[in-house]
Amino acid sequence: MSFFSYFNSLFSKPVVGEIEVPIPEITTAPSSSWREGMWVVSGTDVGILTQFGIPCEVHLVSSTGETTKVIKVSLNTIRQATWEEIPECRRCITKEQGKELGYGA
Amino acid sequence: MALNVPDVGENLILEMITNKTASQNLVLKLYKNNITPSDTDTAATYTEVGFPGYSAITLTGASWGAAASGTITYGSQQTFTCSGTSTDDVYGYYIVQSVSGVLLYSERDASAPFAIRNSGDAVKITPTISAN
Repeated sequence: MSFFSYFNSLFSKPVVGEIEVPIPEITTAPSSSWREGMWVVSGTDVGILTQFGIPCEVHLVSSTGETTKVIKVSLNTIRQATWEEIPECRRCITKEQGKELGYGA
Repeated sequence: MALNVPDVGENLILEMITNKTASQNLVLKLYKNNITPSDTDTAATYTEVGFPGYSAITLTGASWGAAASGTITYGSQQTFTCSGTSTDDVYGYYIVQSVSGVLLYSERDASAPFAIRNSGDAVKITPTISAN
């Protein structure tokens, strides 16, 4: 290596390759996160998740929209209800609004 | 049980925060159908009680205390007193806007129902909202 190339290697700025930083994608996918007040299904029964915990509390609801029973269940034994599973008299928002809340078909 | 803000209430609150929609006084109402609040509710979900002497209570803006530590409380306890015989069972309360009637939030009492049967039977509530 010549003196000049050695001199340059000592004092020149290192060349940093271009780094591609991925731009985070913001989606407007329907919300399906667990939350109190959401409609869920436990076994074959539909109800409302009222309290997180170990176990969680779910109020089972009849086809007339009223509460029939309070049960304690593990979160991994329930799932979010679909729009059709919510008692008809309790579907007070549109199907599209329901989809945005995660109550898809 | 924590109070529940349904989807319609959430949307209205967001619009009030951003000044897209002007706020209104709230109206406190008791309900008598066996409902557990959910995020798909509207004011029509609830059946208002009708015992003798009952009337909904308007909560005026100036009467709320200053918010502190994420909580705001109305200036005084509100009482609904029955003045005759009744068969109403009270399950909880719901709050709507005074002009629009849109449901903002509701709550079922953990000890519900409360039987309102005779003159003098009363339900007392101190409206409080906590954000978390």
